[in-house]
Amino acid sequence: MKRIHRLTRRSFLKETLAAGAAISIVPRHVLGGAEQPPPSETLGGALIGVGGRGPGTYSEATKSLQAAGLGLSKLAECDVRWLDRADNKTTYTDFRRVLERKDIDIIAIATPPHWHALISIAAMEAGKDVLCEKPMTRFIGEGRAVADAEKRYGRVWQVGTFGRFSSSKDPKSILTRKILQSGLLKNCEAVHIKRGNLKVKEWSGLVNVTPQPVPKNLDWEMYCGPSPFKPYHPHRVGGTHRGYWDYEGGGLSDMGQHALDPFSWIYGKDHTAPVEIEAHAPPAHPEACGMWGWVEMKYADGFTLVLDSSEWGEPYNRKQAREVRIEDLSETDQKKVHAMPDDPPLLTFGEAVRQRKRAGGNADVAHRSSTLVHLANIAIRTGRKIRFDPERDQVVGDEDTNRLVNPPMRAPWHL
Amino acid sequence: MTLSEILKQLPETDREIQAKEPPPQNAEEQKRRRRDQYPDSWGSASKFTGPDPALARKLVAEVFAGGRDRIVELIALLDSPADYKPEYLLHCLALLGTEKDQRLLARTMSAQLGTSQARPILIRELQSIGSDDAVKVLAKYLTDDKLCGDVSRAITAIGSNAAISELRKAFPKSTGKCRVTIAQNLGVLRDMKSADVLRNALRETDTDLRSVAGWALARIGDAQSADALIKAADSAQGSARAKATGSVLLLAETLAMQGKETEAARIYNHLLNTRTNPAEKYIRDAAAKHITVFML
Repeated sequence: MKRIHRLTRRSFLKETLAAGAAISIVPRHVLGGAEQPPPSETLGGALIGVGGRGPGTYSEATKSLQAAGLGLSKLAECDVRWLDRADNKTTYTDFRRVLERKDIDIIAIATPPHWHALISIAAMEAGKDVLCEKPMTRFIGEGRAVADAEKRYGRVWQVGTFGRFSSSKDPKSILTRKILQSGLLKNCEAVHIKRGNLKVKEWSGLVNVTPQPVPKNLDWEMYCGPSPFKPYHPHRVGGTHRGYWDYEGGGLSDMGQHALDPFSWIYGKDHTAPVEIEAHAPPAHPEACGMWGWVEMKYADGFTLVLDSSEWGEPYNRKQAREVRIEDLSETDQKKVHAMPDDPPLLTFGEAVRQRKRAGGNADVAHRSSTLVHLANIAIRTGRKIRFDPERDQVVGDEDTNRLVNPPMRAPWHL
Repeated sequence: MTLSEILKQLPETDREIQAKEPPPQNAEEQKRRRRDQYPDSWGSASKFTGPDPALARKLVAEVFAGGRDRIVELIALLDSPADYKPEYLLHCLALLGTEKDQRLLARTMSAQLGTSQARPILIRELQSIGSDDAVKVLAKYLTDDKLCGDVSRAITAIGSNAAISELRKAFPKSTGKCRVTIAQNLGVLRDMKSADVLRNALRETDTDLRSVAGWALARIGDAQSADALIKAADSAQGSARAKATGSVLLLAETLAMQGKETEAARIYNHLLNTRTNPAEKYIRDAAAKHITVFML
């Protein structure tokens, strides 16, 4: 028997991913056969978290599966605001009851983000494929746990932001990716600045409110779930939840992954993270997300990523934007880059479900792009310059700050 | 500068600013004001903006210049909060103080925990900056129904040997949800010395406790609990079965990482042989995939 002593969980699961590919695991709904419907048949779907983005997320799943030749029939919806109408047949308040159903293959998740990781993991434990709304997670530790579960159970998981798919077809983006992936660019001086459209003020939280009675139709205990239990206030629910660290992380969490997921693909950062992060912001409130100016994040290769909110303080002016250029390479190296083969096309959610392969926006890459959002927010929340170890997903040399990387959850909820 | 002078320098919230404006003359003006303040239709309530970082540092230095007494004075203001400012200033102290200041702050908050009416706020701040001194004080509340969740998370975030030791000591005395939260956090911190008591917890009647204890043992990598976890998973139904099977797979993974391949392979083989229902094919597939790693 092969000795595998001292493997990390990540490397062990990576090996099993390769093993999985070798033995061609195919789920019941794609295999066909007497008990198993053929691929042409419609899959069973459920939406967990029906407000706000819910219908849009479910629609994305439906369209993606249809484009891959698979139908999706909505069999159940679940929302913690349905205590007055849940029948536990088609409408539910407890996602665990939905996941028990054997006729459901696909789960679309559009709850507030503090539930994304736990429901994703529970769904994959139950054998379902998942399309999960962005942001992928509420904190860094959750992303790694979702990626582990994706590999452990061999399920398809896709984040609900799709910019990387169009980037992967754009010739300029493809060339940029090749330059950075080639390793030929020494001392990378590129600076990418994302300015505005991060809805910072719009998704700030309240700091001086009086708790209110919990509405009769809302399961507030379940809503809080893994987050600290707090007195109810309507601003903590229904879209404005984005303004609280307990559930999301302000406009940066809401909008950041849209911009940073394609960024990660274009600049070849899907397998790493910044090593130095610094924010310019007023001291953050412990509960409510608030204003911030900019965040500068440096990668080990010298690449700088800047998020400038354009909503607070002086605009970022430490460095000028500078794109990655083919001219930065010698003529010989330019030829080598041009000769590099294109990456295989990214698989859409539907294609991944059909082919039983990993989706283009799988949990590993989504974890990296959501980590950018979380690192920026940690720098904003602590006001400290952070050093980060992308391999271990840990803050280096600052134990207090590291406590925000993987904070303990409220029992009995755990990763 | 007195504490109230320091607090006055913190910015007003939009709600406070709005309250000073004359009421809108008509519906049109009300609509216009709302549109100006919130470009989107969302977020119809006040917003928070902290002070400029330089001013915040100055105010924090002023508080620390008053030493322990001024911190005690600030903590007392949390008991009857008139507005957000004392709570926010306390958090600023935790964020912006020097290492020495933070130690003083943590010691003072720990000392006030017994008498303060705002314990959840102090516990939250100690979760951010507390160390072993705070652990001892926090641990007193590990069996308090109202506070055990908050203190358990704070102690776990601190995560030192002293923290693990306090959780371990409190577990036998704990009941109900406190027992569940302590068991979970012993798993989070992978306390091998708690394996015996967690194994015993697998036989208790509380389903949450059994589930959490199983997960904790899997995370610790306790080979002795393999049979108990397998039995629990084999007999469970519905979502509990998926969860319990998840713990079995996690245990096998942890054992594999510890170099205990034989034990891990036994677990995978069990799943291969027992998950024969088509609805659980994905578990059989997962076990097959994992065991293939040993054979590659």
